[in-house]
Amino acid sequence: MKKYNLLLSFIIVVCSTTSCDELLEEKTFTDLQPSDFFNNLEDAEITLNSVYGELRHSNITRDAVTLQEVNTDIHIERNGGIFTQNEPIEEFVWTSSHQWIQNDWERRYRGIFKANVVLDNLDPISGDEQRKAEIRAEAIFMRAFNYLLLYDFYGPVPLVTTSETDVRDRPSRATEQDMIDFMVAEFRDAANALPLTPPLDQYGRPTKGAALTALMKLYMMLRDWNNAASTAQEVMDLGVYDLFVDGNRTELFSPENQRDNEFIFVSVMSDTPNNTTGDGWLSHVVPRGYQWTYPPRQIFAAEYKIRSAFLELFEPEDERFDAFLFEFVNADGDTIQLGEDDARSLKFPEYPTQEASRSSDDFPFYRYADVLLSRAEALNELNGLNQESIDLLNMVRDAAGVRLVTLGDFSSAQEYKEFLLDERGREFHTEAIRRQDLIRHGVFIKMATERGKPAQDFHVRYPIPITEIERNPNLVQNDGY
Amino acid sequence: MNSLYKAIFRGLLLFALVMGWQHHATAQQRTVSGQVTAEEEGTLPGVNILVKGTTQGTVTDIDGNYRINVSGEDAILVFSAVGYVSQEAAVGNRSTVDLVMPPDIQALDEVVVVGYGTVRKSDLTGSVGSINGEELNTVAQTSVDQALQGRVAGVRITQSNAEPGGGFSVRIRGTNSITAGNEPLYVVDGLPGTNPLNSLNPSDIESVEVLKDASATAIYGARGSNGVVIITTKQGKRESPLTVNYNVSVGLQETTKMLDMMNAQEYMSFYNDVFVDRGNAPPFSPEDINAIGDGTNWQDEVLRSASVQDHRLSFSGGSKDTQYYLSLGYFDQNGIILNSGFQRFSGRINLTHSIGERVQVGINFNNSIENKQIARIGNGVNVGAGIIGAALQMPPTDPIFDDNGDFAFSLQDLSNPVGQAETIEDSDKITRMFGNAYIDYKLLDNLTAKANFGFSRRNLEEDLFFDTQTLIGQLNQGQAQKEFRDDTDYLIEFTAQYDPDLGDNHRLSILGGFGYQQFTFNEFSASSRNFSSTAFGSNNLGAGEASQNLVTSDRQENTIVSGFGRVNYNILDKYLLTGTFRADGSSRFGVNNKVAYFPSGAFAWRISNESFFPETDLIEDLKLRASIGISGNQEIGNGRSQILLGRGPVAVLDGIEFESIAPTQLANPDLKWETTQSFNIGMDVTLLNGRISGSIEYFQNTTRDLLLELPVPTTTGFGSSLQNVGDTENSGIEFNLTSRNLTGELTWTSNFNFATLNNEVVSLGELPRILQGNVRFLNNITLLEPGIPMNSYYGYEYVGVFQSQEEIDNAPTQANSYVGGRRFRDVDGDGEITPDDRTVLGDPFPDLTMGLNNVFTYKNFQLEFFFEGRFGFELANVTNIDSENPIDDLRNRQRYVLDRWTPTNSDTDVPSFIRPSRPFDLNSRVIEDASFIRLRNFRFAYSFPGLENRKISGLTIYLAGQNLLTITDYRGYNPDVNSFGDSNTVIDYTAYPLARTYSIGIDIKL
Repeated sequence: MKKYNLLLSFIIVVCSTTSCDELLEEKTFTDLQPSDFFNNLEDAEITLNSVYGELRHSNITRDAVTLQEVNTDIHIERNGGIFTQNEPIEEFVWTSSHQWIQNDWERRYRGIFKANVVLDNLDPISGDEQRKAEIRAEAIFMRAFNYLLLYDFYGPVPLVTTSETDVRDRPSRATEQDMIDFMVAEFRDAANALPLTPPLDQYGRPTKGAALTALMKLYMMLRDWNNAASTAQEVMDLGVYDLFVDGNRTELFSPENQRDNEFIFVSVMSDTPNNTTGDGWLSHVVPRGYQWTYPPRQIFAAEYKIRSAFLELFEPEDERFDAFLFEFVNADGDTIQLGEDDARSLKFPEYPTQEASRSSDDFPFYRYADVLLSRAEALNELNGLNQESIDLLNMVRDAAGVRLVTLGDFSSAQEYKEFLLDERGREFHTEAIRRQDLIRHGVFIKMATERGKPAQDFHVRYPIPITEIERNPNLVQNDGY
Repeated sequence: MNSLYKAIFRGLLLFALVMGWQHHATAQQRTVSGQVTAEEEGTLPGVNILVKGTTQGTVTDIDGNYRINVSGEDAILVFSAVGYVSQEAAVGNRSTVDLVMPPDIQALDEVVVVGYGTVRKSDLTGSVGSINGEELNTVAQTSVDQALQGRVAGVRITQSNAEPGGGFSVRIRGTNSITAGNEPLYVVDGLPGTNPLNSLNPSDIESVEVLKDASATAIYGARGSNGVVIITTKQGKRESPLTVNYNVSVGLQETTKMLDMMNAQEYMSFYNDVFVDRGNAPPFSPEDINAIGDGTNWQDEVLRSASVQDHRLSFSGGSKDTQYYLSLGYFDQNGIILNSGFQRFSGRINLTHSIGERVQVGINFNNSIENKQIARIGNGVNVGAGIIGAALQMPPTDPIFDDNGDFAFSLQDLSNPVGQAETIEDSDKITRMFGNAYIDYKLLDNLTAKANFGFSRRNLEEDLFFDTQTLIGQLNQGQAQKEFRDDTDYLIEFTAQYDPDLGDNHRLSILGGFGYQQFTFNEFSASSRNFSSTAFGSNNLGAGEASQNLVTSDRQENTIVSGFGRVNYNILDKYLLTGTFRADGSSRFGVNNKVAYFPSGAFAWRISNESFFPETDLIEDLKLRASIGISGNQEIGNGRSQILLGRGPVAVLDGIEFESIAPTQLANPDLKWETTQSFNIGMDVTLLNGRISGSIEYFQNTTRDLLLELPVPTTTGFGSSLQNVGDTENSGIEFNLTSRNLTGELTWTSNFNFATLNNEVVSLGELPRILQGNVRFLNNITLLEPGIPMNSYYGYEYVGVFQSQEEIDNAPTQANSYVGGRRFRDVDGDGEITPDDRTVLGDPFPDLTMGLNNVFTYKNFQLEFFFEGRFGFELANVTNIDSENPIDDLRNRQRYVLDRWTPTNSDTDVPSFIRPSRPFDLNSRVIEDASFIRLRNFRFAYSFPGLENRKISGLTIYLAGQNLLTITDYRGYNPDVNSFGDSNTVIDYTAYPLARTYSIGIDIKL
């Protein structure tokens, strides 16, 4: 036993000296530790990049169309493995286990956390004060924007405004009013601090117009027509935006025009896209055997298609009708007709520089047409049929090369409202705002029921992911789930 | 078993000796005869008798009589038989030599290697499975793991991928950890943490010991809880002449199974029927069907018969001071998928040298070069589906080549599998060296100090090139990639062994030591795309488009500092006590928990040595033993306790990509070891003069403070955090039996083991459950929940086909249900089929595993065959989901779908496949009973007698086979597979098919 003790004491001696601690100190080479970072404004910029990176992802259009249009009158999806995700949405049988609903929730909170990291570490850093203020405003906007996207899906959610999070955190959902007050204040704050044109002249960073439009969209969602109308007017008064009228309306989304000043806030895709920096939508759309303009490109098994009934909303001369594919010539020279419920939306076109399944099509969140039509809608709600609403509507119709309407075309504010909703469908299909439009107009459930789906009132909100409920018992699930 | 081999070995050694004395032989021949008896049994048949120094031999007949020619009066006869101590008898001038053979009780006193030392088998207190290298039939086997499959009770070895050189997953006594590694610690010649993988020539193995309970593993502390595999390589023997051994085998492999796919005609009429039933136009015209013939059998096109050859050459011997074992190996296996293969060149030098009486130095060094040509397999879907995946889904109506002779493109989002095999180059070059050098210094007669220095380095160079001739190649735009990896570790260890003399009745042995080991990992990878010419392959990355260049690198380091000790105390050969202790400090853990302590204790009682124990022939030796102890697991990544800032998602602004940095994990300064408390009781028994020996034991391992990637509220900004949360438990019974069934002229020895296993998640902290496992657009296919086995399959229970609209109307609401469609059980009874109706459909842990080896010898013939069986487990046959519900229309399916439900074929459980409702795809139709019995190994050998006057001392030719027979209900290629490698989530998805191998070989000794 003596020898044993001797050895043991030797080890204790060795390990009680500092050498043992040093031996066991963990070194990291590929990752940084916080002490190495947040020393200058450059570090804050690089962290802010991660907030933008969280928002943009290569399936942003696909996921958004599924969750915002496949449960409406516009899109359906067939074939492919992702039918697993689309089928319950189309059929109104989605549950809290839906993977994409979960992914969406998690992505938003990752973005919020990273924005909080920027905000929490910004103050002690010295540097260009003006840029510092912009960084703060960008982070404030991005955080509020993520909350708005969460609110759109789930209603009020936990408000986390610090990066000092802990695994034991079990936050409860904010009240409806706190949630709204928070977003209104933050968008106002951001709007006051953000410049008219993108900071650093980098397209994709939020502007004053983006913050005001987000605020307007929030008011629209709340049916707060007064504030919606006035905030829309604020955007119009900025004098930064106008409608694209320099060609066929569909060319707004072309490579030449996709960064036109009609766009207010978008998720920008790379000019040299790869699997993560481009958008994968198009490969999900075109039919098997389709001949690409810029091959080689991949055609996925999954196919997003347009419901034929939706196409009946278009008048023949409407330029926006050109965005749909009804037939194509295959490799053998045969013309293939796409039949019932089989047309495709090619709103987002091919790019000469594109990866096999990823293109440079930006995903638009907000554009000026929405501001105009929102003000038109709000004024109609506030004042009934009115000329300004007609004029605003006509601005968009004129841009689309379709006949203008007059006050006399409508017998009531309701009729105008319904026409406006159709106009929004024609204008914004494939831009993933249909679900919220239908909800605002109170027809989301009704239209689904008419399609034979077992839709119920509670379906206007998505469920909080079951995984989140299991991890945080303080979260109360939305009604009906 | 051991003795049998020893006998053979001795025989062969004698052959070797013959060589030396050949020229002394004189020609004066005469006949000697006699009878051999045993003390208890009387006359002994089948005893081998050799004239020492010659190859002249005979065996005794049924009455124990023999007759042999000898020359001269110096002749010595050597008598040997399994189970008896070999005897020598000088003939002198006698013409009759009778002999009594004493039974061999030495089998009990075999030496077993344990951590930092050896013990007599009879002194063992812990649970150690020991297998002699000679017992492993290693013909045409690549790695130790492969040869060990089924050999040791409680050790489950599954090949993740049956490709040549494919990896294995080894689980000893179940699976403890949910997140951390579950693979055992490998110790090769005293160098821990070195999984030899494919680098070791199996012929170099002297023995493999598997340490199973804490009494045996706790000496490896923080790395012991998954069990320890100790590999000891061969050493030269003292004062023995040079032995040269050359073993060569060549073999042929073919797939053990093909899946039964539809041919072109069946495929076309199947889809025509389905489309018509959907109300659509049939896609194929009668003319199409008539014109097509059988179409392309894609499986046939990518699979082949493949050769394997294995050369093993060794030199061993030694003087009084210096012993050596040198070996060279060359192994070359072609895979049964086109263009896949594995080659290994290996060399080993084991040397020991004594300097005077007190000092011994030694070195064990292994060096290997491995080349692997990888067939693209994997869990990808659509264009990402690998060779097997694409071959099983590609329409049989598609041709391999188009009219221009190029690889044809399909309208399906799939890559031509033949094109993939022919044009995608994926190869690994691995240079591996590991070894150790040591100095043993005898300070006193009973006190030895040892310094051990170990080193291991594994360099991997991976080349990957996607030609644009396939869809996947186009997707990757002619991508080329080159990657270098370097894993290096070194070890410094000092131990001392003290065996004080306490008289005859007490034996005490004390071991103590400390060590330091450092592991570093470096990686560099570069890739580019859009090459100006495909001729460059991966050899000229600069020829790619500069904007597509991608470079990554990584560097990691971790250290472990340890002190350890063991005390063995033996009283009167009746009471055996073992205590071990280890303190481990690891860089991987939180600042608050760097060091942990792992004690164990064991007690054994040799009842048969008690005076009250009756002297009986029946029970020769009986030992009871019990142990308890704690060991740990540190198999997590590095840097997991700290807040780290790493690469975040890429921002795109103005169309330009910008890198970002963001926190990558939450801090956990309290992060500590996962500990397994292990309890083991067992009984070792030897019966009938050593004819039967065996053991039975029960174990219970409770793992606490799991290193769990704990799902946390994502409001924290993270989905999970590595926390010490949760408990699991594994328990079971293990049984080993060696029986010398026949010991006469015909000998028959059986080796049988079986083990049961109960695996259970005990707690997940606050969480009710965790869902894991994503494949093929299916998420969360397995369930972790207290009270059930880890990663149980979780899905819907299929109850049959909806026979009528009336049935649908009366059934629980199920989205998209239709007559002829799949009906699922409303498990929660709420009248609706929702994700809450998912239920446990099975688990991947066999309730019972068994191995049975039989060796027969008759004269110069030897027959050996080994069966492995696993029972009571399920496997997710994800491959079948591609037939059940393909990702796209018009993909090929297995032939069973022809029996689909139609109004006229309603007595079937195969649905009509009209509507592809996907959310239910993970259901009981694809969770299959995977129980199997497999004839893993077969060997039939003939050793040539009468090699006198030849230059060779031993010549054996043999036929060998592997995986010759599998009995199973499982419908996939192979029930013993995991497409997720060593993950706890076990699935079979388009895995590399298992090969059946037939070999012929020659073993020559000089």
